[in-house]
Amino acid sequence: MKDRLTSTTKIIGLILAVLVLLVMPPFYTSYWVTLLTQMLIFAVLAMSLDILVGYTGLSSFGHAGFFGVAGYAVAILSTRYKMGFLFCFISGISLSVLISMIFGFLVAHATGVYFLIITLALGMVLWGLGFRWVTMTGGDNGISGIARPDIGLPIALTDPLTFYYVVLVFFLVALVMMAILVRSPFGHSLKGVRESESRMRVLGYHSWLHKYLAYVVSAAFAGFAGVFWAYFNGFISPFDMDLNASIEIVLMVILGGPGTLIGPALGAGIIIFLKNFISAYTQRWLLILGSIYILTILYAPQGLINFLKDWLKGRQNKACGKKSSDGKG
Amino acid sequence: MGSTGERETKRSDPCLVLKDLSIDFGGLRAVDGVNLTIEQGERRVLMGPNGAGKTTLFNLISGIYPPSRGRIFYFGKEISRYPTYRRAALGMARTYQVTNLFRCLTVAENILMACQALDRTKFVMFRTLSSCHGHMDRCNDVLKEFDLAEKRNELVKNLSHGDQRRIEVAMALTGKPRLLLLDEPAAGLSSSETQDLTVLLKKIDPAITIILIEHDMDVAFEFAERITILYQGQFLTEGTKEEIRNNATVQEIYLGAE
Repeated sequence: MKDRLTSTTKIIGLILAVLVLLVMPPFYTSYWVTLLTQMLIFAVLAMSLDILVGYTGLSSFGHAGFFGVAGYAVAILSTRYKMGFLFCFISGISLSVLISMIFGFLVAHATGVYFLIITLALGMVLWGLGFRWVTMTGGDNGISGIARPDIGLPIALTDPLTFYYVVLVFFLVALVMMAILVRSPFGHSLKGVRESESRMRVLGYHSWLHKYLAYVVSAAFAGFAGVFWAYFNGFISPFDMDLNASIEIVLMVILGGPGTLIGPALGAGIIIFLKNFISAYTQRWLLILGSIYILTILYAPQGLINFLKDWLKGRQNKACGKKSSDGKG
Repeated sequence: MGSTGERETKRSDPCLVLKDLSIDFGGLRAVDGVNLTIEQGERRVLMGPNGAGKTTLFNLISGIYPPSRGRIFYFGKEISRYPTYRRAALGMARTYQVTNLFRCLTVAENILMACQALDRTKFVMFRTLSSCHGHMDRCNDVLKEFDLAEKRNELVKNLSHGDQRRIEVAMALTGKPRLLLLDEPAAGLSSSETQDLTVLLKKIDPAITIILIEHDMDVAFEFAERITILYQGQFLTEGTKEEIRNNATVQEIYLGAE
């Protein structure tokens, strides 16, 4: 009974997702298509952070750095050196991975608040580079004029809808890869690190190495998202990787539900929507962001997806209770 | 040829030798010059009043702390500076006095963590764990062996203390260790649960060397031939049940001077 209900909920969710993401977009206005593209890109970013926050139990406040670095790599290579999509794609992710491999040595021994502070500082270093290394990054003017890539399709990607579907394909690829990752033996070991690092060591895990690899993998997927952000936006600036950006990603994860992949993706969608919607009415976006954060912590500390799960379970238990008592009557 | 020669020497080497092992925490010398030899397949009980340094000694053996002085030999090989995970890879397993499990994971997930711990597949990222049949089979065997099969999908934090203590032992044995360090496995158990645990401990493969910390004299005497007493970080005495029972100093420590 229980299983049937959760699986029907899953099927309903899947059908809704297919409708909203796959079938309906041609009927949306271009504003909505653009917004949806942005949501997908940030969903990948939020899921990548969740590998650290939700699965490994390490809160990183510098994750936008890896997103930005990959974006800058694409921006510089495609505008200055006229490089093609594949080269930019690989370079962007590689650069994020490379930097995370170096940073990893500094962060992987830390946990809790110390991890948070070190990643925050390192994120600021990347932001500082973007801001100050004017000859390379254009400083706070950023780099503009990044053309949509030619990935060998007969249709140009300047059309928002075509670009949306391309991003959707890459989003699904990233989603499947991460879904397998968190269910893999390695993903399982990350949950162990989250629950008890001392026990992991005694069992025979080199827990440092697992944290290090989690950090690098997470940066790789952040770079993945960054590549598409640069192509989507056509513009990259230090503001894409500042502290606010990093905090926003953490909020996406916490709002959606750490320790699941769908949760952060949902959180990303909600935050992106609110940001666009609310900023049409007020400049005080950060105030709203802060309030959402506090409300989440107070009323849904496990995130929306788990809140929803509990709610469904509660309702279903009630329904079952009623049914059985009806039967008796 | 070389490998058989190595195995020969290993057969004759004791499982564990501690030489003049000490550790200081600031001004406190928690373990003070302990010498100890544990033969292969031996069952040894460590006893001593609170603060005697029993758990600290376990932490030294399993590599949680590096010793301030002294050396540790494991099957003839010096491992004094090995990190914990390498000692585990050599077949050393332990349990904790205060239950230390993956609380928000299920029972099966806890055991699976131990199944893959000593295997290279723990780094595999692009294949689901449930498709690793070797680990799944081993996990099912362990769950059955420790009577946990029915609770396999329950979160560990929702289980009774007795069940949690049993999982501690089950996890330690999952990796088929050569040396098992049991730190008060019966801590906080009711007398019937303690009885069950004693039966379980006696069923453990005799090839596995076991060191047991235990306060309960009944459990200790039932379990081991030889008992080592620690007192204030130092080796006090060692002997058979009768020798320990009749030792005047031991009586004084446990019951107070007359």
